[in-house]
Amino acid sequence: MSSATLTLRNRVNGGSHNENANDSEWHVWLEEHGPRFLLFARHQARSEADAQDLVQEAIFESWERRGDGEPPPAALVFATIRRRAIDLARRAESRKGREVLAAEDYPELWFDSKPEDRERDLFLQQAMNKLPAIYRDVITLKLWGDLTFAEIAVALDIPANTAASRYRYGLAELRDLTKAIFP
Amino acid sequence: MTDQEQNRFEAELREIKAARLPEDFRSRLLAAAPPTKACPVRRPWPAPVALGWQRVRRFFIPAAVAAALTVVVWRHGSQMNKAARKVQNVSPAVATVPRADDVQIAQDLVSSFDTVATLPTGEPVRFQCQRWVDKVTFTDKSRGLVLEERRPRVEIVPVRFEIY
Repeated sequence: MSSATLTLRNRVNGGSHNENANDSEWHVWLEEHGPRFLLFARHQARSEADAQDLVQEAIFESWERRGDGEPPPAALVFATIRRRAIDLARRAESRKGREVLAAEDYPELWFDSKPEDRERDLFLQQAMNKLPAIYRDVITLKLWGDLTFAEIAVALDIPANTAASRYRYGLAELRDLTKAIFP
Repeated sequence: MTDQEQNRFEAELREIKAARLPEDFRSRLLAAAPPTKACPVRRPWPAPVALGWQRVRRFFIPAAVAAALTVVVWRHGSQMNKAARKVQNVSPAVATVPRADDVQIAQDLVSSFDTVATLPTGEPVRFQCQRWVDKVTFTDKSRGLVLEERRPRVEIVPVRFEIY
């Protein structure tokens, strides 16, 4: 059981003296998982604001769905982000042109770069953008989401074998696109 | 790409971490506390139980409806049989069909009047309206039975000028 789980249980069972500690544990859980969720959401959304909204909705919806006060499994949050992104894309169809323009000017960096690595990470970000979405989703969930292929299958609603093959093909394509920075 | 190359590439990619949450977004999330047991949310049924109930509902509800219909039909049938048996038990004198001594059919003219209407072309048309009552009287003198049926009827006949 994770420390975040313990903390949330304490919040329920314990008194107010635990609340500060519990809040800090919620912070820890968010620090650990939030960046992964946001990275995945940025692939799904057309703007940074949409990506952040997706993450917020997905975290709290998954938490409520679990219903026992314990943090939801990451796979559930990823799956919820994807479903909400599909809903959002349908709603935003009419303002497609504006959103595409916004996406082209996407200012956010997807990776946590030191100054000396910024160029490499930006190159990787652009390469990831060039990948077909079906490869990009699997690679993101596997490498940065730390999900197994079985969990990816659930999150993306595809068979596990398909997830594994997409990962292999996607990785090979990403490798071709990034030969300049990963020789 | 060989397995070795793939592993090395994966390791290199894993070293690159996802960007931290933007500060304003992080604050927004932290400000919103996650739900806890203190405000419990109704827990959904586990999937096997829910599926089990779905199967029960899918198969047993139609079966129950069919069974109820069968019972209703069976009871209705048994009541009909009882009624038929009762009729059979009635004395033959009562159960015999009445015999008509006299049947009268009459048509009584109640009222008659003419009216004039105008066609869309402006031409006047005269109508003759008659109210009738058709009457059938059935008499069985042996039982002192008289049955009478009256049915009102309206006849509207256009009257042409050449006829009029």
